[in-house]
Amino acid sequence: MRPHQLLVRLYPGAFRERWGEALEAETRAAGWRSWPGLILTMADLWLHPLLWPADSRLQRGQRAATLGVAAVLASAGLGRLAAEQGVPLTVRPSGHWPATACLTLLMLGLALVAPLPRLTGSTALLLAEVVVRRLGGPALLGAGALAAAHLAPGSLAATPWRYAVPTAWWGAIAIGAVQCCRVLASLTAPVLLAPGSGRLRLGLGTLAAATTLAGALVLGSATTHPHPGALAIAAGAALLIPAWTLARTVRDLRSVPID
Amino acid sequence: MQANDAQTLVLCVLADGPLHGYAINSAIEELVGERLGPGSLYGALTRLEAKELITPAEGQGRQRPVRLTPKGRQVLEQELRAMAKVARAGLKSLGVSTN
Repeated sequence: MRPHQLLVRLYPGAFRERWGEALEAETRAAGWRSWPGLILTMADLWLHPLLWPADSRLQRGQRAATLGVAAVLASAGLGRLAAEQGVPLTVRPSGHWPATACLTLLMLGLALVAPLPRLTGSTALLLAEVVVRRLGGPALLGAGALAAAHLAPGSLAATPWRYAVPTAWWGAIAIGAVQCCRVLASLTAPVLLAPGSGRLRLGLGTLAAATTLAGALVLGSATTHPHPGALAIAAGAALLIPAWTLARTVRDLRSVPID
Repeated sequence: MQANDAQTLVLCVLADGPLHGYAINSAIEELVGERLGPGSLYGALTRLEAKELITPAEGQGRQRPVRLTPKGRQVLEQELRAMAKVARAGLKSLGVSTN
């Protein structure tokens, strides 16, 4: 595979489906000088899922809602990662209240952006089928890791399995989070109904504030920690990426109609 | 938007009728003397389509032509009028005749 083909492959799938062939032809003709611009546009598009080509306005709304849920899951994961490094959100700068405020904002934002199920007999069946298909694997993996850790903690500690169990646990959480977002993104009306643009803007704005606060707290705690860990600092910095994406999406919602 | 903004340029060249990506870039080259980078061109097309200022033109094969929507035409007109106003004011300040 040639470099320009690889670069085009790295674009979001919805974009590739719409423009991939034409972009590849133009990039081939323009040569290597077009690669920096190609990379910048690719990064820009990944940070603006609302702009990706869509079949309908509803699908764009669904993507914005999924972005909100993904930001909550990413924040939870990165916050947990920082805590595992000895940098819990509650340590600094002023005890528990910033973390409580952060959690409250996250929950409020999640409640505002979460697509609502419209449950009839057939849609409930479809929803259950998709949830089992997508989340069954990671649920089993997580349950297996949990069972292994509880049932045979002593015998595992002396074997190479001591690394496999936490890897399986964290892997199950990561895969579960990704699959959760895929479920939300794949199910549109009438099964799941994304909120309207006003509620989405409010919800995504709230989540942007929550993730910014979480990032600032983790970075503040990590850098003032007696033994600052690179992983905790990276987790704090990484939290600012969803904050940026959410803030940009709120702005995009002014010009991109979704309802 | 600015006069050399990729989105404005794309809207401008689509004012004459539907075009596909390569033809849009050729028309831009004719208009301003240089082509947009592929990333800029298709990034602009993606944004314009999301804003519903352009839409796929039907029935013209694999090249995926696009055309202006009525909203796109309206936005383009507003942008061009604003630019023309700024250009007139700037040229007047410089003492350059616009006739």
